[in-house]
Amino acid sequence: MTSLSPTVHLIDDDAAVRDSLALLIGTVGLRVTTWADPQAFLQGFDREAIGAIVLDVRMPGISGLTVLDTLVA
Amino acid sequence: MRASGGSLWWWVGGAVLSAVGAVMIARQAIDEQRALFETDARIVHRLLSQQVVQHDAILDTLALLQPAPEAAGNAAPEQRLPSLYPHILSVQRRDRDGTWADPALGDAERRSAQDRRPALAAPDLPSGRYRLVLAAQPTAYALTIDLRGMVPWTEWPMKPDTSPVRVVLEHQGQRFELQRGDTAALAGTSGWHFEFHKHLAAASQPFDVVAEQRLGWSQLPWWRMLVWSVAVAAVLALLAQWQRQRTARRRAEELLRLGQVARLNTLGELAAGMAHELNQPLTAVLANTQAAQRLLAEDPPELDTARGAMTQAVAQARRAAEVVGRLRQTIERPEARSATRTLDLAEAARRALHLLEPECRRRGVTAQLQADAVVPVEADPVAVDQIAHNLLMNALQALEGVDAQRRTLSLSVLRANGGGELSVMDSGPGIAPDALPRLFEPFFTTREGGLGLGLSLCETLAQGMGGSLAAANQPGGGAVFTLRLPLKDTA
Repeated sequence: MTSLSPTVHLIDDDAAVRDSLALLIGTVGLRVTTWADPQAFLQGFDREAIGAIVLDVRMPGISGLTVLDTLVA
Repeated sequence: MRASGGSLWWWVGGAVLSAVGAVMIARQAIDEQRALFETDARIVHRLLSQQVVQHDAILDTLALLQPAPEAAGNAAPEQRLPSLYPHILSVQRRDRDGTWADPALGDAERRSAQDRRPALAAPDLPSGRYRLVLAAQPTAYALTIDLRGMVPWTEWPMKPDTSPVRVVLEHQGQRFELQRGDTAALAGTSGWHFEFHKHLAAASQPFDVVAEQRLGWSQLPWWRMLVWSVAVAAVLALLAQWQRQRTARRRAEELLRLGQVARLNTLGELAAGMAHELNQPLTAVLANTQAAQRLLAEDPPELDTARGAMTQAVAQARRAAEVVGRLRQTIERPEARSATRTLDLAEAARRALHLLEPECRRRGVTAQLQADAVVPVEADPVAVDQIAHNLLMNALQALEGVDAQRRTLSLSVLRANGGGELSVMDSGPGIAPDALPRLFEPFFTTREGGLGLGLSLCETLAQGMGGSLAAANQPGGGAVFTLRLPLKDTA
């Protein structure tokens, strides 16, 4: 577990899914940041530190596909 | 709205059709009457012409017999003419150097000499007689002729007393009526007026034959027109009835099809929702167990964290089970049982068969129903219809696999073992032995493109009504599906 390891952003409104996936990703030695609200993720994430994102498609408020479109833009 | 517009067109079409037909019938009748009238008038003209020409001939003959025997009282041969020709009332003669008793006869003789043909002497038609003079030397003759008597009634084409045709002889404004005709009708102005007007074919007696007839409205063939209208109405009523029945049947089929589509749509939505609801706990279960696997594989194993992950996995698996449980509750409609009532299973079978009759015809399948008079069962009519329809459709589809001549479908409805049984038997290839035990499983299908829900749904519906659905192969080949429903207590 080095500090150079990229961060995986995990965005899911379901706490059980979020926590279990964070645990699993953590066991393989990756840093994980979890987000319950996609809107908060878009506003608060560190653009430099991004490694990968795991995104749920069906979420209340804003869909995963919209989040992806906003990221690409 | 469509129905009332449709019936309006039936009414308008019927009215136009019967009106046009009635007018044509009336016109044909009028034309027939006119043709009859003209034929009769022509015969009358010919008969009268022949008659007056005869008068010319008689006078010519008398003139040829010159010199006439001197007047010898009653011995004069021309005096025998009236007995020969009853319509010749008398024969007068002017002997050599004699004069006529009536100066009008002398006048006529002068004209006759001038024109070299017999001439009329001061004709007075209304009196019913006229005189015809032929100038000759030394003796001239005059005939007095009875107008009515000269008509050859035996050859007359009409019945003089009853014929509606009036026949009149006209000469210089004078008239003599030979046949009265229907005076009341002729006095009227409505209806159709036929008229015939022609000179007699004899220059010496230039009378006009005038025939008239008036056909009144009351003489139109009203009965035939009425019969026609009634026939049109009857035919149209039959057609309308037939169309209504066809529409009703089509609508019923459409409704059934729509119902099935709606059911499938609901099912699709349900499945999509179910997939999402289940996916989340399943993802959590998967992630937790995989994490636990990794944590246990570490050296030393992180037992506490792994234990926590497994606890999470159990909780999430339970959550998934709850989703499924909720789904079952939704699908197994609690109101299904309350919709049951007493219905006749035989009637339901007849209805299902009737609904699919066009389908059977199209596929060349002969279907027959053998049913006890009335088999009252306690069931939901919609569900029974649905099951019967599905079983019949299944049988029809099974029959696609055999020759057209061997496609038979038979239904039987009977009371057996304390229940009402509806059996659907086909002459198809039957059910494969390995498919038989799985037939009612959801999503199990032997048909390409089939969803595998039909029989499963039918079984669920049958069980919901306290009945059952069974499938088997017949000893003689083909499959038999039997729906059993609880009999209605006769108490």
